[in-house]
Amino acid sequence: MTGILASFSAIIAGLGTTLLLAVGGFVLGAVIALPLAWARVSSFPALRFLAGGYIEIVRGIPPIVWLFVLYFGLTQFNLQLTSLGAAVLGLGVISSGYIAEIYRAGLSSVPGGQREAAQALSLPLTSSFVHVTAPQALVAVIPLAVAYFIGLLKDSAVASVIGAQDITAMALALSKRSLDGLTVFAIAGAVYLIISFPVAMFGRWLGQKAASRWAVRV
Amino acid sequence: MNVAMQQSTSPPTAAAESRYAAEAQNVTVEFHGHKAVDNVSLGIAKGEVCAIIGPSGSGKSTLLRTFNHLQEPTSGQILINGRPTVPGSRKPKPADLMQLRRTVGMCFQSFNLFPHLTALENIMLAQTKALGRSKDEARERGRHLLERVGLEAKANARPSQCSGGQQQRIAIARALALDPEIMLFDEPTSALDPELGAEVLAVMRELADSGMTMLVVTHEMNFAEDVAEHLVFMADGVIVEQGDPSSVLRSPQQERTQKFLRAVNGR
Ligand SMILES: Nc1ncnc2c1ncn2[C@@H]1O[C@H](COP(=O)(O)OP(=O)(O)O)[C@@H](O)[C@H]1O
Ligand SMILES: [Mg+2]
Repeated sequence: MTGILASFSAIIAGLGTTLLLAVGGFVLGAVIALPLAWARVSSFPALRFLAGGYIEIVRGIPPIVWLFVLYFGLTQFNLQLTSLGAAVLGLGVISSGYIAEIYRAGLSSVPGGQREAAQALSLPLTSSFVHVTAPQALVAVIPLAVAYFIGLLKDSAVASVIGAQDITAMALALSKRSLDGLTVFAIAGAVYLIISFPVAMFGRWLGQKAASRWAVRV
Repeated sequence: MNVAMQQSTSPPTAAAESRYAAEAQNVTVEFHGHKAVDNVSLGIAKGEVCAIIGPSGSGKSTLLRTFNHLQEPTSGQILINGRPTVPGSRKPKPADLMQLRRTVGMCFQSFNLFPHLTALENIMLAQTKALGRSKDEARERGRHLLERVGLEAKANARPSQCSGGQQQRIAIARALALDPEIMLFDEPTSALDPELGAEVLAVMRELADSGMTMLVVTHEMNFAEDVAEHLVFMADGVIVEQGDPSSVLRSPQQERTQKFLRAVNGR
């Protein structure tokens, strides 16, 4: 029993890094995704093409390869990122592709008549976006974004392969010292579950709040 | 209504003497080579109500939407108070379009209220963001307009908490909040039960009586006959027949008009 508790506290030492990876990657991705989604729905074909290409490339390469490129590959240009830096950057780049598509789904969930009404009322484009399109798009975006964040929380485990000291890395180190790999990784799995659960609940609450605040149904 | 008083934007010029508040000159709209509107000219006198009737797909909405450039004409031009909406043949600039749409308001068949805003907020939004009015001013004007359409009690209701007829009346108030000189209506009662449609038609009748220039696409023949001064029958992208509403409705000259009216009247 003390063994389990000791293992648990050893593993939980990686919690901060896991959260940093997931939150950092998500926030970075959510920011990069803004211009990306805008380009994706732009009326300039060249912009649409570039954004579409970026999104396909970002999502088409395995996360672990992205991290290797950023951590080992950039040394050729005398650029040595820390494990954590490379991992957050990598997860940010990857999530930007997914989050841009989430934004796009949100935008296309808003009926065309809404933008048309805003136009007919001579609303400037920025007001039309900020006050008409965005709040309605957000209702569709929130549940998708929260689901993606939970996925990222788990997938951030990949950062352990380039040396980030996250939950998985801690469990891996511990399993090499003790013989009970099953218990160690079961605990690691439980920690991921335990942190995912409140996030999912929060996401559901936020989604419902947004939907009722912005009762989107005509 | 004190529309003219608050309209400080268009200085009087020679063009202001045009007898039409709004005019389409040789307007054609093509979609993939198909002419939805084919070389149509139509003038609406100041203070006049003009109704457009015609079968589905005849180009009524498309023509209506060229008047506020929600639909760009392929050729031809729109004049408001005698002045072309797009000077020269260049593409309209955003500023031109915003100016135009302050003068020409519009109501849609499906209302298109902003569902995340209350009735009052719907009416306030463009006042503050497009006209730069203060929130207090916009709120006061909004309440006044809600009262005018008989919905002061719904000020803080969401569109989803209002009936279709109420939503359309809120949409009318929202458009009027910009003090337009001309109002466009695209089948404003087609999505409504007759009873709810009647509420909307009553508001439009009052608006017409107040002297508003109105262009109304409608299937309400009674409204067209009672309220409109001018009736236009469209088919296949052209104006087939037009004139005094009672004459056109009661003794149509063109066979195409007769056929349409027979179908509408179920005879
Ligand atoms: N945005 C559009 N793109 C392509 N075709 C259109 C578009 N809008 C209207 N049309 C076509 O133009 C014709 C006239 O449409 P519309 O003006 O909506 O007719 P009405 O309002 O009289 O029913 C129809 O054949 C319609 O399919
Ligand atoms: Mg139509």
